[in-house]
Amino acid sequence: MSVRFPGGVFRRKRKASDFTAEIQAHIQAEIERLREQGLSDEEAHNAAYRTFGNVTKAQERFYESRHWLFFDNLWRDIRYSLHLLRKSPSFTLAAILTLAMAIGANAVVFSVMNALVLNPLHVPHANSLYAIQHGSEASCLQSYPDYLDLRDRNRSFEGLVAFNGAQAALDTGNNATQVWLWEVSGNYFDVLGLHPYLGRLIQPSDEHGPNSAPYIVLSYSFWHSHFQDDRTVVGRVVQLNKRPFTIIGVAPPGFHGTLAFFDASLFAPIVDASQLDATNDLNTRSRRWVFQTLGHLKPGVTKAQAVADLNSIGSWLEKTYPKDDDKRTSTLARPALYGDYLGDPIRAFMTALMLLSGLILLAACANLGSLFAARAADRSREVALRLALPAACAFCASFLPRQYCFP
Amino acid sequence: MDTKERLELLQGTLDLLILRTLIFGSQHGQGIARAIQQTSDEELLVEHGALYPALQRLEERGWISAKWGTSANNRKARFYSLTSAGRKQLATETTKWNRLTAAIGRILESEEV
Repeated sequence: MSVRFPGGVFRRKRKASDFTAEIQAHIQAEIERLREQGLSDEEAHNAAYRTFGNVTKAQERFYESRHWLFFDNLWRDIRYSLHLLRKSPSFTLAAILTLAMAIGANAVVFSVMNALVLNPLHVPHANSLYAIQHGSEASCLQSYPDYLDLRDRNRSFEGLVAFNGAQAALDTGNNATQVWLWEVSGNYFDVLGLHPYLGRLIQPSDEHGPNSAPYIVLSYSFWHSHFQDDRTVVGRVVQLNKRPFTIIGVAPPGFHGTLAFFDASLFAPIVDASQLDATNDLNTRSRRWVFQTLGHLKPGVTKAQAVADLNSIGSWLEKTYPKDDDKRTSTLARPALYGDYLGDPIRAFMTALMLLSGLILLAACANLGSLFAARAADRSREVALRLALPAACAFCASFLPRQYCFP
Repeated sequence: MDTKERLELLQGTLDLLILRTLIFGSQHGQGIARAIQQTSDEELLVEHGALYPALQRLEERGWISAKWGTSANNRKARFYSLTSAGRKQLATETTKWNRLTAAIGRILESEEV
């Protein structure tokens, strides 16, 4: 198939005067023809023009066929608007500043809102991610044995992970520093659907009872800042609380755990919890220290169904361990802001902030509107004159409104 | 003057008629209008004012080309002729038109609905 360019692209554009000349030639020829048929000069002239129709309209159609008239006019309006802006710099400055501040405020608030509420976690399919929260209080704390029961007995989650925050002394050979870390269950990265940036991540097969997995995974930013992107870091042994841990990999960029605000430096298996923080205990059911448990709901499972499922496990726990577990009802909450504990107040605060910045934008628009109104009052004489001239009506209808779109 | 009430052209058929008229050789606008009127036994009315924008449109699409010249009675006129793309377009449009009229004809002449 051959490529055909529309005519006129490479050809020189036909001039409007050429088109007019052609029409004039046509009308002259018509007049001549009609005269030969026996009409008088005047009759022939009138008849030729009558059969031709509206000459001006034909010329306009010729013009419009080659120019995109709308953009033509738009360009004229923009040029005129810029001209007006240059003529009144103080007005321009006031308008630009008003808009800039209002838009800036909105952009800032929205980006905070986006980071905290709309899209806080950098994990795939964050929408179906829910944390288990106690029904009686806005807390997600669980004991480790309870977590294991919830994980193994529920039928609503694709997989249930647990994590807990801790601080430990990291010694990479020079001098020890305090770092924040996440103690995570073996299935943590698998369930969240994350892939290592380097090496491998902690796996369920690493867990063989308490203190069985001396492995750590670095967060990407910590690897970047403390190990200078050293790719040979995988396999290195470092001291964590004076115990040897092997670096097995680096987490994907942007992932800092499943809690907003809080960026830990590394991830360690939760089964090593007692080595990392002496108060943590894997075996006592009454000690609730696991910070949060969360998972993706299975496709088709509603929140209500999941809660009912969790509550039936809860009543089983109450019956089986009456000494340790009481009031085991659960609800589901968004994980990133620690369920409703922080989530509710932060969401309320952000909504209020968003409303406020919306009001600021509205106020800015109202201010600009009154500025324009003042300017319009200045131009009332000009507009009255234009309205008085019939040909300028179309100008007023099309040009003036657009002029206020581009002040 | 013509007293017979003429048919107005259907939307989009003017292009086809112009291309068809030019198949017999180059012609100026007035000649095209006359030819269409005469060949249709004065049945069709070509509004001259609509003819020239149509010619311009066809020229922009590359279906006809134009050149200023001198007419039979020694007047300056812009002569249009069919390009090879225009010939192809004419064939396509003619087929389309024949199918359309045949289909409409079948409906209008059918005895039952």
